[in-house]
Formats: sequence, structure tokens, C-alpha cells
Amino acid sequence: MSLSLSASNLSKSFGSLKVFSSLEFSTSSGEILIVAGPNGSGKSTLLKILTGLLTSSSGQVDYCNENAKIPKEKRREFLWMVAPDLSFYEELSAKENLEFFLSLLGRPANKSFETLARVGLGGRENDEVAGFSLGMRQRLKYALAFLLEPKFLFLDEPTANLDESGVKLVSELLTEQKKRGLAVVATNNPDEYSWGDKKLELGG
Amino acid sequence: MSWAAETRSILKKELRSELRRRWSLGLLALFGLITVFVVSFSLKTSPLTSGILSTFFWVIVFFAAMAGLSRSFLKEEETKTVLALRLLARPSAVFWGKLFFNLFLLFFLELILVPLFFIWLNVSGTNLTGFFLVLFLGTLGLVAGTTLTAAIVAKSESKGVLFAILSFPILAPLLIFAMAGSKAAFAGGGWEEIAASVKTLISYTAVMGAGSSILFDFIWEV
Repeated sequence: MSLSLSASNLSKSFGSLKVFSSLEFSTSSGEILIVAGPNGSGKSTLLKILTGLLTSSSGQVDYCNENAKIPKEKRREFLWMVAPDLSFYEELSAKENLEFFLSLLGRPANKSFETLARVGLGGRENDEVAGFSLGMRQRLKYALAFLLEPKFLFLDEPTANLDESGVKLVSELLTEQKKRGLAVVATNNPDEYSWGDKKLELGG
Repeated sequence: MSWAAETRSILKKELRSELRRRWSLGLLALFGLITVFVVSFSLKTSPLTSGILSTFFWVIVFFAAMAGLSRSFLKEEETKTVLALRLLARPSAVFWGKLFFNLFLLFFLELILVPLFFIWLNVSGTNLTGFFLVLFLGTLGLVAGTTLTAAIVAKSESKGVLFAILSFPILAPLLIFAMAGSKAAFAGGGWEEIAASVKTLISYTAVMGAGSSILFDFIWEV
């Protein structure tokens, strides 16, 4: 499957504050694009624009599958994002959260237990997310990434709140992702640059 | 995944969350109980005309709706669960899932409110079929209007105030005809006296439901 993600002439401003302007890049199947830059350079904003959570001030983002553009309303079937400001329902258990989000795309939840065990949440499947630490919540977002198997994966500060085994988990996910599709990783941790095949520097 | 199955998933999630935490059910039950008690306690000795009964009834329903129906969208924004929902859910399924949940909440309020209202205010001689028809249609219209408004204000700073300010002009026509229909029903009026209100309420609900469903896609994407 040949997939690609491209941005052309992408700019974003909040009022008079220009976050970035005239960004041009593309990435395709089997690649991991690292988006680097200091705090406030617009990495998270860029990922939100790429996933459709924010609108850009100008420019456009294209998702392609076999050279055919994937329309905006279909993209939800292909993408997932792990980000610090994305949360799950605290009053629901880990398993209920996974079941709910998978059900939105009509995906089966029969691998939830083994995936939760894989991300280190074995035995906590039926506990409410309210009782989870920040690291456990981050692992739950990765559990959904493993289950959704998205063609386009977006990671913002991927190792935030994770211990050593959690970092290894992210590395495993990205290895799988390269076989499945492509990934965009926003980070300012130099240790994580080695995961990427390409690098886009913001705020430089 | 069909639209209906996705809507059902969202409704099921809303019900499960609500039954586990009871953010809105408790508030609505308490609101219904207290307002009917206060009205009945202060007006027990005064003769209540059908116009006064109808006004009191819809004032209680309106303010309860203002207090309880904005929660589902507000909570998604406050707890930041809205991002995952926007990534994976079809906007129309979110709208209808939330709308059916709000409908459940308002029917729950009315389940408490109606018996108490009739018993504590000694309401008698009512055309019950007409009353329940007006109540059902009024509830549908109220929910169609407030679900869209709740989605709009969830992204704003002063959510509570804005919800009431935006809802009032949208809901004013509905309230006028719901009160007129209930007034006729409380007075024991027949179909001829209720028909005009019923027809207007059906039209209002159809227009508001269709309009809200179309507009919601744009609000959700912003």
C-alpha cells in the first residue's frame, strides 16, 4: 500500500502571533518524520492541523492512498494520535474506553485484554481511568494505537511520563508502524531523533 | 460502521458515564423537586388558573434544561476527551448520540416533575392526552435546540451565561406554543384548542432537528 502525507504552504497564526508560515513537506509509507523545535515553535499545533483538530490559516494538507486523495470525512478510519492533551474517559475502565473508541470505527475489541497486558496494564483492565497515573494513561493511548493499527500515526511528545519500558514500547510501535504506514513524531528530545527517517525543524 | 451503530455507541457511553457519576441526573431531580415544592408551598391557598399552571410548568422545565443539558458537551471539553472523539467519531453520530442522551435526561426530569406537579398543586380536569402530547413535542423541540447551543458554548469562556443567552431566543417560539398548548390542556380543552400548538411544535421540532444536524458539522470542525 502506497501512502503519503503532504503539506503545502502551511501557515498558522493565532491573532497577530505567527506560529509558523509557508511549511512544505511530505512523507510516505515506511517513513517516520520527526518534527523538532524548541518549546512554542508550533510542533503540537502542526500535529493538530495535520490530524484535522485545528484549521490552518493557509495552505493545505493531503492524505493519499495509492495516489488518490483520502477525503477529510474518511480520514478518521486511517489515523490516530497520541498527545499529552488528549484524554480518555476517567469514569470508564481501561477496557470500556478501548471498546468505546474501537466501536466508533466498527472494529472488534477482542484483543483488548492482550493489548492492555502488552502495554503494561495487565490486571488493571476493569479499573477506572480516574485511578491511573499519567504514565498509565499514556500507555492506554498506546494500547489504542496498537489496536487501531492506523495507517497514519501522529505522536506528540511520545515518551512524556513514560519509564524505560514505556519508551521501549513506543519504539516497538514505531517499528510496526513503518511496516503498516507512516508516522509523524513531534519531539524536542534529541534521543528520539534517531527514530526518524526525515526531520522537519520548526522555529529555526 | 453504520451511522446508527455509531450513534448507539455514543449514547451507550453517555448513559454509562452518567449512571456512574450522576452529574446531571442528581441535579435535574433536585431541581424538579425543589421548584415544584416551592411553587406549591407558596401558592397552595391561591386558585391557580390554567395559564399560571402552564407558565410555572414550562419555566421549571426550561430552567432545568438550562442547568442540566449543557453538561455533556462541556464535560468533553473540560476533560479533554473531545480530542479523541473528534479524531474517531462521525460528527452527526456525536450530535444524535448527545441529543438522545439529553432526551433521556429531560424525560427523567419529567418523570419526577409531572406527578409531583399534579399532586402538590392539586391539578384536576386536565386533558391528559393533550397535555402529554404537548409535553412530548415540547421536550423534543427543547432538546433539539439546546443540544446545538450546548455544542456552541462548550468552546467559549463564559459557558453558563452564554448557554442561557443563546438558548432563549432559539427556544422562545417553542416555549410560547408549548405554554399555549399546555394552558388549553390544563383547562380541559379539546383537540380543536390544542391543535394549533401541536402543529407548530411539530414544525418547530422538525426544522430545529434538521437545522441543528446540518449546522453541527461546522461547529464540531471549528
